[in-house]
Amino acid sequence: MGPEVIVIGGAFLIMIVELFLPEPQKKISPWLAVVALIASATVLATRLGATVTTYSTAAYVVDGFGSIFKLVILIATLLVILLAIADRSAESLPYEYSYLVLFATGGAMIITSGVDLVTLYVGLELLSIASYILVALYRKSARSTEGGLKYLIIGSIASACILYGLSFLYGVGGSTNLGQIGINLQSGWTNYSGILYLSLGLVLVGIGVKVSIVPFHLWTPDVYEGAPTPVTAYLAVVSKAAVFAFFLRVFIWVYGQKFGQWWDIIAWLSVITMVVGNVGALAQRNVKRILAYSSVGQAGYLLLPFAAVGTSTLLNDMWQALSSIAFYLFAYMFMTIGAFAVFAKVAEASASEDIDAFAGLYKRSPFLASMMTLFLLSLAGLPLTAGFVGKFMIFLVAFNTGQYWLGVILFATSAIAFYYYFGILKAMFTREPAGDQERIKSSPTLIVVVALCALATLALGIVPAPLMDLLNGLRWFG
Amino acid sequence: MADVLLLLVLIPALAALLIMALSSKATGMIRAVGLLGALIPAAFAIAAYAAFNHGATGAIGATALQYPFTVRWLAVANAFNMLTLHIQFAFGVDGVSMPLVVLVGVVSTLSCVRSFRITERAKSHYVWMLFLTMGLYGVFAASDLFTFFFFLESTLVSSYFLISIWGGERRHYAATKFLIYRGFASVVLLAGLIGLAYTFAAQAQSVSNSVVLPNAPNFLSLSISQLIAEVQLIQLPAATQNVLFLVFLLAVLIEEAFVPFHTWLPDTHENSDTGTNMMIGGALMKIGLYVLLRFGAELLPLGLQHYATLLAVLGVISILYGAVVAIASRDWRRLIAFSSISHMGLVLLAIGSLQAIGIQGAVFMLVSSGLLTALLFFTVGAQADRTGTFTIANLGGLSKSLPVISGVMLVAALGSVGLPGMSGFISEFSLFVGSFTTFPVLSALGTLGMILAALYLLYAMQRTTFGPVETRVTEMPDASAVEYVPMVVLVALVVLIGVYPDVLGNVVHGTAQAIAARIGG
Repeated sequence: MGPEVIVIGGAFLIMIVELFLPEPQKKISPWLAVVALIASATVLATRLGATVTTYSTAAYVVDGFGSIFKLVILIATLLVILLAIADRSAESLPYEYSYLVLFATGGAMIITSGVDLVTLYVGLELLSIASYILVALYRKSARSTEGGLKYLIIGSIASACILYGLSFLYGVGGSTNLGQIGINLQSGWTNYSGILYLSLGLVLVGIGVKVSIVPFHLWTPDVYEGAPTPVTAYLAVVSKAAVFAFFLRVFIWVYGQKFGQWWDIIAWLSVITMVVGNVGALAQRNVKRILAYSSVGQAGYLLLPFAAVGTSTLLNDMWQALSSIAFYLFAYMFMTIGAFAVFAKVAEASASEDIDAFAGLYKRSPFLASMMTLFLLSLAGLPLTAGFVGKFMIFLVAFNTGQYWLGVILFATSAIAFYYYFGILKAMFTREPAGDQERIKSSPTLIVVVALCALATLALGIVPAPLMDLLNGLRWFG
Repeated sequence: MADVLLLLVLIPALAALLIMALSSKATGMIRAVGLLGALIPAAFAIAAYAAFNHGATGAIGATALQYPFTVRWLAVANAFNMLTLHIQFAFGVDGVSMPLVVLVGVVSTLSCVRSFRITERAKSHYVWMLFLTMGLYGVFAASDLFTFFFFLESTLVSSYFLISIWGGERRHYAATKFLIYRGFASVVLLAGLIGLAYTFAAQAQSVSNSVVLPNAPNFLSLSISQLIAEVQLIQLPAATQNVLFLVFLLAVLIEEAFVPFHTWLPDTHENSDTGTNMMIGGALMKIGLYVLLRFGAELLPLGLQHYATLLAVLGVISILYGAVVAIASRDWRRLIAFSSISHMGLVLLAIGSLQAIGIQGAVFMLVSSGLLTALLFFTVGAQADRTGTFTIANLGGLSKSLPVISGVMLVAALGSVGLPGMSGFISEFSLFVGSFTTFPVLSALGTLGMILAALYLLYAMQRTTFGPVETRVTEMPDASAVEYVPMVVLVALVVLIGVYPDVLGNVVHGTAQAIAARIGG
């Protein structure tokens, strides 16, 4: 429980410290958050190979599944906070974000390790409520407030759906502990299948909203566009990863017993998410919206391995699917945060979020242009980048389980995605900078964030073996 | 000498990285590094060609590829049926790919010489040129499905930037069209490659009890030499081969700009600068047919046999359509593009003939057409630098003001037409001997294409170089010393192959025989 305690304790500490600090000194609060995150990640890393432990009458379990997702969440949050420090947009981000992000991260970490319905829901709500505030943090911006309100309303409805579904689960299962419910449901499926499928549907709808699966994704472009860029990056990576952990945990432990009967729902959701997410980006001019639709498509890729193992009875396939999802989350984290970091700087320098802001970037900042090229090529899935290895591993899962059609759609939508990523590349390299041609100077913090993400993207693309071995050797559920 | 193929790929890449580190203002240094980055691998390629072992090819076995080089990258456990997939970078050449590698060397070096004329963003131009060179070497030298696809994609990205930055009026449109068409072809090709690897693996696993296979029990392999070795042993069912062949055929038709997927090529050529045109017309446009030979003919023989007539018909359609539209072309670059489509149709017809002499003629035509297309683009570009126009109607009487350039242009045109003594003649002769054996009627229609070639090329030449002087600029400097180099080299190579075909034939012969033996010709 150490990592969570450090994060949430740190959040409280920063909240109090920030309250009493005078205005000019408030800027150390995000750095305090960075310290808390690094400490938490260190504690987590030392515990990575440890045996599975359960806490407080099994409301919480520390296993490989939880630890890997927590690693993703912590690294992503660290990069997002560094990005927020570097982001000198026209409206300065109020320093409350330092502890709000930490609270949200704490909630995310609770989700990944919870095995009790109540714990899971508390974590989900902690993550969600902190996120609602984070989106609306630019108090004077109408778009930010609009985004925050949309996210609040839709997110609350989603949480309510999830709670309703979980309540049915409790009703049939007789306990709030997932393991216990799993045991009790052996007979429940035949007697109460109607209620259980209703519960499955409700939870799926709620999770679909939060992870931006089509057709529940409609809030994503508006909220991503309105939120401050570091918060968008946070939503795109951490929020998605945590709710995915929720989804996998509940569905594998509880509903998974009858997976063979309803797996095609997940498969079709994955397919339409991939298609709509990638096709929807084609018409966009605002780069933030392009990245929003792109992340909707990526949610489809993440869903694919889980859908593919629906027809298989081999446990090995399930572990392979989880490995590929985890690897893709790592790859996705680095390339998405990197892309958002470059975008934040360019949008601030050109005072525009349109593709035109990127025009002639090769001249204004060769560093940012080449880094953005790397991230875009990784998002598109070109070899030697992390995105390619991630997509390849997902593709292998589809092939191994015989679901060739899923693999085909993965490739087809990736090819479509090429087009809009190349639109940004084209603007960067082939067009001349508009108006003022002054060079863009990036602050050291931004260079660190972008360089770290780029290095990780290349490293995972060229030598993925260390991470792949770690994931293959992981004891997921003990 | 064993690692020569790796050097072919590494040296352009390193030169490109070196150029990226130079300042944009050091134009002399950039051109020097760029030229060396293309010249040194070309020299290695020619040395490897000279040392090529003619007798070693033709064996059905894993030793058919020469200068093999492999570097392991990833091992993915449980990729299919609990088999491990080894992803690696593997290189090796045989009689079909060796001449194409040398072609890449020649064309890339001469394109870099031509690109001395580029003054704006010269640094980026050479960087992309060298990455394109690296990609082309990698495509032809690859002996592994993954390596092949990786380098194919890198040619796609490099060409896109070359077209859209230094191109003509509608360069963005042309570059996007190029990307969409070839990107789609790449996706189809990828599906074909994956299908190939997996069907071979599944079939190998099922017959492994009765047949001794090379590299057993590593059935899942992306290595082309292993797949070739397995072809006769595992006997993939005809239905599977037919389906896979159709997938590859679709990709080839789009990549090679055969009718009706050809519309991107004239737009690309019309809107690119001369150096890029030389690379695309001279080297990039040979990849499609190389795919057909390597994956279609060598790995899916039953599929090729089944669809031989379809290939011949599509070939003849491209021959005639390309030739007819070339007659009507107003722009020199579009004319060369359609001429290229027409000549590639000849190659398709030859491959469909399933004859050894036909396949040998096909490879000859690939090399010859590459050299002649590059030469044509170069001379046309050279005269356009001076007259300012590519439109044939606005040209005339160039032989008076530009005797050398128009002279070489005439040589190139005659070579394309198939004048004996030049490479075009021996190529067309060989492939028609092959195709008349199998498809007499279609080949007769194909020879019509040769007559039409004479028509459009000589008519365009007559309007350009002879006749009254149309252009307003009369005082034009003829070819400079730097421009002599590409012209002399290309003409020399074309004439060399024309009068002494064995220089190419010795290398191609063995592999052509082996391929024909496999497809039952």
